[in-house]
Amino acid sequence: MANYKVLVENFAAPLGTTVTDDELTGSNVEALVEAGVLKIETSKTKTDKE
Amino acid sequence: MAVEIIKNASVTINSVDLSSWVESVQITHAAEKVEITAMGMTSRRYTTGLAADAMVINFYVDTQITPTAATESTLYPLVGTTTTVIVKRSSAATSTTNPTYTYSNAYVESHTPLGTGKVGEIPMTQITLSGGDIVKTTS
Repeated sequence: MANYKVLVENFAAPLGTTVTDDELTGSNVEALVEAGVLKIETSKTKTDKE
Repeated sequence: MAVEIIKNASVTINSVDLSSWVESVQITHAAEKVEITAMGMTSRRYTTGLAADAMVINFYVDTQITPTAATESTLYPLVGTTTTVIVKRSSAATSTTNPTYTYSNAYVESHTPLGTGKVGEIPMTQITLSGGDIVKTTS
């Protein structure tokens, strides 16, 4: 499941929050990303230090 | 008879609130008719076919993207895809006198980024949607 950061203030979720695919049901996510409304959040992986 | 002047309609396309750019919105809730006229009848008879809902929205063109997604950035990528459009007569809470029309699986047929693009005129943009289903809710 992908997460997306909201980049604009007139989206259904507040600016700066993170939304999931489930919350975007019914919306065209590709178009929102292309429009600059949402940005795909990349997951950070933890690495163990030795 | 109560007459209402529409002043503050709410239009959300693909989860983006574009109300501030809307000039007009037309909702068509329709059903195709299928003829079932048979021998012996003296008039044509029809039954309900498929839903044939549609919507046409006219906007003032705005290419702004941040901090507010405007018309061009929101509408252009939607052509040839399906989305959800939510329209209310007023931005106030949904009620029996202010129903919400939710248009799901709406196919974006066309978008005119510059309208007629005539010299000296405000560029307008229109989006035409068809297919899908419009559902009216009052609460």
